[in-house]
Amino acid sequence: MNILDNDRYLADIRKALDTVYDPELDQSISELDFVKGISINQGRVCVTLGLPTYWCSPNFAFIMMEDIDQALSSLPWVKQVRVILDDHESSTRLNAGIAEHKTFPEIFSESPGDLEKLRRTFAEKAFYARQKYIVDLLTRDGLNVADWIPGNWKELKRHLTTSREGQQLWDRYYLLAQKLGIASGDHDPAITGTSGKAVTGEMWERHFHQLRLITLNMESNAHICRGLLRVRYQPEGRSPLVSLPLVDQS
Amino acid sequence: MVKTADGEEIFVVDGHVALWDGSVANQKNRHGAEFIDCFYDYHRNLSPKEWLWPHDKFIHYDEQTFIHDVFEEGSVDVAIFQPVGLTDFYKEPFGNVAKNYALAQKYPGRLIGNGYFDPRDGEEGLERLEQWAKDYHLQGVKLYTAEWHGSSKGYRLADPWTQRYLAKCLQLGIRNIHVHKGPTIKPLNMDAFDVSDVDDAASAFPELNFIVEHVGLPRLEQFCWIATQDPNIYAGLAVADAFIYTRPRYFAQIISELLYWLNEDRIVFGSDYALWHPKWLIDMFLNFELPEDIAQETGVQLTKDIKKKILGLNAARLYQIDVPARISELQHDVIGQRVHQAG
Repeated sequence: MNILDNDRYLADIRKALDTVYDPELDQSISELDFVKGISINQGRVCVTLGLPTYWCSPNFAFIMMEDIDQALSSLPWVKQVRVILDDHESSTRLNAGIAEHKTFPEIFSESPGDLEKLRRTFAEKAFYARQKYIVDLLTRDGLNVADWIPGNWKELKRHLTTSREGQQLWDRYYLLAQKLGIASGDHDPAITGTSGKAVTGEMWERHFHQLRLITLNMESNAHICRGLLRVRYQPEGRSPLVSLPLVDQS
Repeated sequence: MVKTADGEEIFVVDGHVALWDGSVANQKNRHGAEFIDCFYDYHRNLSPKEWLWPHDKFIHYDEQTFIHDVFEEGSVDVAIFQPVGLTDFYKEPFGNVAKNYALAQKYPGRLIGNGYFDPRDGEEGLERLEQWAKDYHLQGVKLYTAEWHGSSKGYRLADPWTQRYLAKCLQLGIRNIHVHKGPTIKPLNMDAFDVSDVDDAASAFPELNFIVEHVGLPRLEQFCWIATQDPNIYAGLAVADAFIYTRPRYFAQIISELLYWLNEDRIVFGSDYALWHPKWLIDMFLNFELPEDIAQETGVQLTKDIKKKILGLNAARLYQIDVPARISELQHDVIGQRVHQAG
């Protein structure tokens, strides 16, 4: 292993971390600057997370930590993954639990509820938010969305893939539709509820109102979270600390 | 009273203030330090620079500071204490009902001291609520459904014991139930910010008013949907109104959604002092105008009359304040005279 390998490994890790999302904000943990440090040593990777507050919901922290563990474990050269959450009320329990691959109820037996249901709820909200951004872009491009809906996936792709921004929105929306099991073949309706039911003209006004509210809620929360993270971990503009072994021992 | 640009004087009720003790001496454990530090991060995050406090002042400020900031500098007429005990984290309660009451006694007509309860305290808690209602003339309570209590990390308004406490409130004439559904505390329940339990309680107790503090901000969309179902659900603006400085467009969107889904009679201003100073919040709110595109999209307006309701008249109705009578009373009290002399 040499320094160039490390660069490549680091790029792999960054790419994997880009796919891990804060479920509540629907932004990647890299974008949100939650990654405080990455270390690599002979195929062993350790990622340290810092969240906006000491009190951030442990269930969301768990989801992100579990997703990091999975995303990194799938890299072929990775032998072992450690995920460390710093400065959090449940750090000790979460760090140990994730290392032992425990489920959320195994770590927090006192916490009622169903984590998978929570994941689904937030994936549904994210689907609507992504739909809202698509509708906004189509409207800016001069399409009368109220007349066009529900459209189909083929038309949607044609509308969106002409620009980079559109392509990104399409990728994100399509990915989540697949994850939620919403039919997304060429002729399936493109603007739907999370059950896959087409949104029709008479439903549109109320539906759009709800999209707006969901997006506003998400963006407002993100604004608070980003600001709290910034003041919590001053100085500003820090980037993830990368600690690599100085001497290659392999 | 605050003056609008056209010279009209407006009556202001600050629906959410505190006189907390987060001092190191009062902290029981690390959680106590982390709790007040998290508040401080909110303060640093959303305040204009000229209103920032040093950390040592923020964790514990005195009564004079409170009176000066809220009433003299802040031009608030009446303020409502929304205390939270947090006795798992602090030796003396973080928000102290007895201390608040003592201060309210010193300045008649200026302060309303709410209490709080925790349904997990069972029979003993019911007795204490009754005693407090008698001793402190409670008109309202503040509830933290995500508060820890031994091994329990939260409760819901639909729980049978909570229902018993709410029935007790009704019996004791405590009509205003302020429910903290917002960020900053220690959620461990699967979805501690879920607001659907407010819907259950509001339907079961139509005579009580449920003021959802921080407009359920982590779940604003859910809050708006349930608030359309129950006419006795109100929006407490604390935290959301602090966006007016850092993100005025979000604030505009939030306030217009609230006007659309609830209405102008069910929105209540609160500074959350000392998280934020009421002076800048009130000034910015008075001068605030909805951007044209947002007004058009939601079809709502934020007129001066609506601002008057949000800033004072709505809370006055909830707490049965006779506004003209109270205004003339307060002009002559010790604070009113000081404000008058300062010109």
